[in-house]
Amino acid sequence: MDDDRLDLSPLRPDPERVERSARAVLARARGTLDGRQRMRASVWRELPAWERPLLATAAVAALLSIVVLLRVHPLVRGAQVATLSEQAGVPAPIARWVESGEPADPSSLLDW
Amino acid sequence: MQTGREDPADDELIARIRGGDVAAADVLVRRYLPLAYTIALAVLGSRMDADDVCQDALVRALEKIDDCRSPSRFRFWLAQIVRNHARNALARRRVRSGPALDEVEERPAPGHTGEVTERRELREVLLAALGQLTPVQREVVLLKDLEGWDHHAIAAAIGVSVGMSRQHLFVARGAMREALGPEALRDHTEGHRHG
Repeated sequence: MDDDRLDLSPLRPDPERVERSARAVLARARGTLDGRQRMRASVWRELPAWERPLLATAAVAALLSIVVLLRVHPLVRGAQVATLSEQAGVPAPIARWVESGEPADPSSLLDW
Repeated sequence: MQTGREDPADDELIARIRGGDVAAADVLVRRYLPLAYTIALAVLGSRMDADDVCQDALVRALEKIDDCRSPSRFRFWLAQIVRNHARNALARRRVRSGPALDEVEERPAPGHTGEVTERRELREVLLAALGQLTPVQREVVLLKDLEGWDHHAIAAAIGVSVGMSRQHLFVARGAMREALGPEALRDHTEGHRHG
């Protein structure tokens, strides 16, 4: 207990004053609170409508990621060291032809 | 710290207010209105202005409740809003619109006329004594002796060290005692003891 404490309780607002002020504050904040309620209600209403498109988009994104990984990731391609052209997604026969510096053999082009 | 269904904690109330719960806002406003008033009074030194500023600050706090990053430390966040509003009001010397609560006569309950008059007189004496202090000293002495905060909380709220908080309190109490005088202090204490 603090013996030096001053009794300042007469400065405390009386309950009637607190009540009036609280009512005034809540009346002024009512619009904001109502807006928050409406916002929350609309979010919950809108969420089911977005469920199917969101799932479909997620599935497409996952599929694309798998395809890209299979094409470019060296571990996925049998632990071969990927060349620059392979990482860039250039098909192997074309990459070999470009790297050799020789003119393309028409028959190999036809084979490919 | 408040717990349980009857007396929900600040963070629980704030989560509900973020969803637009009016009842939660009602509880939070009633819980912190006296504190907001005390801080406004400390900065402004006037009850009428303190009423207006405290209401404005609480409305602002409810509007900006998403900005309260630590709901369990709501009282510190609110204290800062009230302080800013009070300082702005002081700087602007704004003209109030409509009658302030101070201008509304305090209606004594039947049989309590003397009590109300005595309390009003005490309040005037205390306000005059508080007027002798700096705003920081007023805030420290009001938070400590009226709101019951400890020095760690006061220091965190007003941005000083615990040692400085103690120093402000020591000086403020001394100045208050000197301004009030032994007679007023004795009357005040006795009046309160009988009340």
